Amino acid sequence: MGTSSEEEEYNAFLEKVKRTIYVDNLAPQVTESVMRTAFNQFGYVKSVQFIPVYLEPKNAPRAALVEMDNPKQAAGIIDEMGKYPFMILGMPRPVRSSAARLEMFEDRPRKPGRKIICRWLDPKEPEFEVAKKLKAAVRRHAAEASTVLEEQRAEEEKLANQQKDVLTAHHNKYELLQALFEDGSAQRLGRHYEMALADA
Amino acid sequence: MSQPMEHKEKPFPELKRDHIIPFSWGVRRGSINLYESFTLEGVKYSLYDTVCLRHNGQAGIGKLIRILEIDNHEKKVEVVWFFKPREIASFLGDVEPLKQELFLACGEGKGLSNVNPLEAIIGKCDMVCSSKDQRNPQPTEKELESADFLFYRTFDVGSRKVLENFPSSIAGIKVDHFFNKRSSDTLGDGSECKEPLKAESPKCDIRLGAPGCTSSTSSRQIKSSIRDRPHARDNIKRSVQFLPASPSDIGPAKKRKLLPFSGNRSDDALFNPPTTASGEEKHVKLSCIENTDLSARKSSYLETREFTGKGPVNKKHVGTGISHKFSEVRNRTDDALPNPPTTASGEEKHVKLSCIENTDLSARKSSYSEISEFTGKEPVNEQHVGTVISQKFSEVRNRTDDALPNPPTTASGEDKNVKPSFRKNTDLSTRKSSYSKTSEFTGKGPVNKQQVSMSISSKFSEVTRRPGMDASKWLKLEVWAAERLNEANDKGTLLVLENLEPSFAASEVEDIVWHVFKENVKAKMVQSTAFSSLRSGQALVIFKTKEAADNVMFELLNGCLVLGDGRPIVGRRKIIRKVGVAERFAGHLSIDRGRSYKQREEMRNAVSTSHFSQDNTIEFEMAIQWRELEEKTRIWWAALQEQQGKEIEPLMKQMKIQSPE
Repeated sequence: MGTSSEEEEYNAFLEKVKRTIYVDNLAPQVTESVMRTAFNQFGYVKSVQFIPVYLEPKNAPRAALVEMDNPKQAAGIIDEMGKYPFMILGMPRPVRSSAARLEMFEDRPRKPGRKIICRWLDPKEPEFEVAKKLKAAVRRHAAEASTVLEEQRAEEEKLANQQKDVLTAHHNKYELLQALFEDGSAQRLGRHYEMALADA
Repeated sequence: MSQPMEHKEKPFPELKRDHIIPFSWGVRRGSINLYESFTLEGVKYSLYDTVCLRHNGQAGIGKLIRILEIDNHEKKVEVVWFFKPREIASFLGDVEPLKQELFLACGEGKGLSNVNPLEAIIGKCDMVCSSKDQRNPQPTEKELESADFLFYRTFDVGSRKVLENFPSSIAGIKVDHFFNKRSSDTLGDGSECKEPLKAESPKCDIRLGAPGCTSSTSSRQIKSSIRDRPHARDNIKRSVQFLPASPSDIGPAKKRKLLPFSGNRSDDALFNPPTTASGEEKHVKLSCIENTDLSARKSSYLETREFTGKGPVNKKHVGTGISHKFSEVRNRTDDALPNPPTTASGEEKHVKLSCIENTDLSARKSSYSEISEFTGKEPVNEQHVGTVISQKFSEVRNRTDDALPNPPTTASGEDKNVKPSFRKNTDLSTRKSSYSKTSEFTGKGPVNKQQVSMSISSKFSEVTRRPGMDASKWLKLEVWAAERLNEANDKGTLLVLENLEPSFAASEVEDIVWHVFKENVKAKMVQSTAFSSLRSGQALVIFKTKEAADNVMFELLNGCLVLGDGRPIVGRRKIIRKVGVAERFAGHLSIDRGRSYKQREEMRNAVSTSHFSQDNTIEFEMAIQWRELEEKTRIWWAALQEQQGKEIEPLMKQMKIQSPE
């Protein structure tokens, strides 16, 4: 196995991984063109690929892979976005970015020269029981992970609601103030207390 | 200069002449006394100890470089700070801080050191310097393991860079004092410790703005007495007690709350517990304070993360905190704080405080958040966390497993159930599978047959590439669209293979299935995300028929198909969550609902839809809250990964590893 063309392809793929950014906490409404616009500010976007979520509802935050022109650009963006919250198509929840890993790609080529071997274990072998335990552990771990994810989503929901309340309260305050100026109450009060009010 | 110095104020010693200069002090104005150690709430602190103290409402860690008392018994300590990676995050660049790593401040500039009220000290910190520097007495493995924090790099506050080497002095103190303490350092090398004191006194004067203070040794009135303190955590035997005048000011802990420094009432409650005599007790308090300080929202969780569960003794407390949590948490509110029920130990306090923290933080909080917050770096601590995780999950597991659709045969539901009746079944299943395989594939040439028999005879065989059959002939291209997957799931032709090598390509999985089961399938690796397991790769596999899928599922459940590195492949029927539960994306807000819809439409079409938020906006503030949550969940995931790794690795070690020749 492992012809030279395969190796070339694989190396090219590894290069691609290096210049790609993994971005998540994206709103489901974000489209490829939105992503391109957002990241073209920092450099040249070669491609955008959304990572499909099979096991979560559609409104869940999405993730995408953004391939930049070169690894340096990618690293720069990750650094920048780590320092300042970056918003795409909505606020105040920022998107999050990190370096991409090759397991994140859909169209990954075979690793050249990798031979895969496998066998069925004989139930009489001692390893059989170990493998059984391993299988159970893998199942359990998957369940654990999904519970953590569930918990995380719940926390996110909570924070969003909390922030919404804060924002509504602020908004109401501003409306109240604005109304006071609009119906002239503020000016009247100003005259009454002989205070100069700036034109509102 | 020729004039004799008879001025009344600010006499200035002139050292250039070698003959005796006429000199006398003017009116004494304030004084500063320097000390080498003090004892606070039963814990002895000496110069160059590492302490945790409150500074601007946050907890910081620093090295004591000066202990002083000015006039009116105001007690101060000067510390050189250790930076937490987060505090200098924007200057770290590609520097990857270790888990418990802090950075020692050095250079000249803001942030190097501070003079703080002595009462700001929360407790002692077990800090180890792991630098390979020759001047640094190397720590033992044990010390490294038990340390709260370690450092081996410095952060230059002037150039704002992380440096690997140490300057010869930091804030005027010989760098040797910042390294680990030498065991030979213990007794009476007074010369060494007096020297910096002398040298530094004038500097102190300037800092504290007390001109004309005394800098001669005689006025320092240091009274040295060596005391033997069995419970002192480190080996310092050098001890200077307080001036005769001062102990009354410091001794009892209650005094502290009268001082302006201790800010909020939870602190008052905190400082009330009976004074105990051990340094470990401090640790408890330390984490308590951090926990209660949640009102200062910004870095609170971060702090808890950094300051809880690190000391070996803390483990116990953490454990108690967790187990007591649910029983106690319900009725506790902040009101309970000022009047804590009288309890005998600081440990109890901690339990309560962690409870309060829980109520504050979230009503819905499960043991996870608890785990993450208490997940220290101590191995034993991990174990604790582990127990909690597994307890928590035992329910979950049952639930999830029950939810799985029943595999074709009754014998193969949960693995546990299988065990007793397993022996009996295996024979049957192997026989059955071998039969089905051979019967199905006899027509396909000698090579296939050989492979089949090899795989059954428990020997490793190499997975060969599937002959040029193209699955796309019978599957339309867009099979991986969600609707299609749901369809396949409903039909029963979809399986999820787990515990694959995460870097496998889809075609490699197809090959494996072909090689082992002689089924032509379409596979797709599940693309991993930030939350995916790094250990277990998943693939979606669509079979031609339900029967084929059932068969594979059955065999994977009953037999153990292992790859070369010993990992067994797990098959699962996972119900793909139906879409449409969707409410909305959590985290995006808009004020005016009527307008917002329109706005959103516009935004979608508009070009400029992204921006960095400015730090003087409420948006920024809220964004930071999201960042906090991200960080918190990141810790959850890291803890989970670590714990799972600990469960998997010992098992994997028992598996023989066979590399392809």
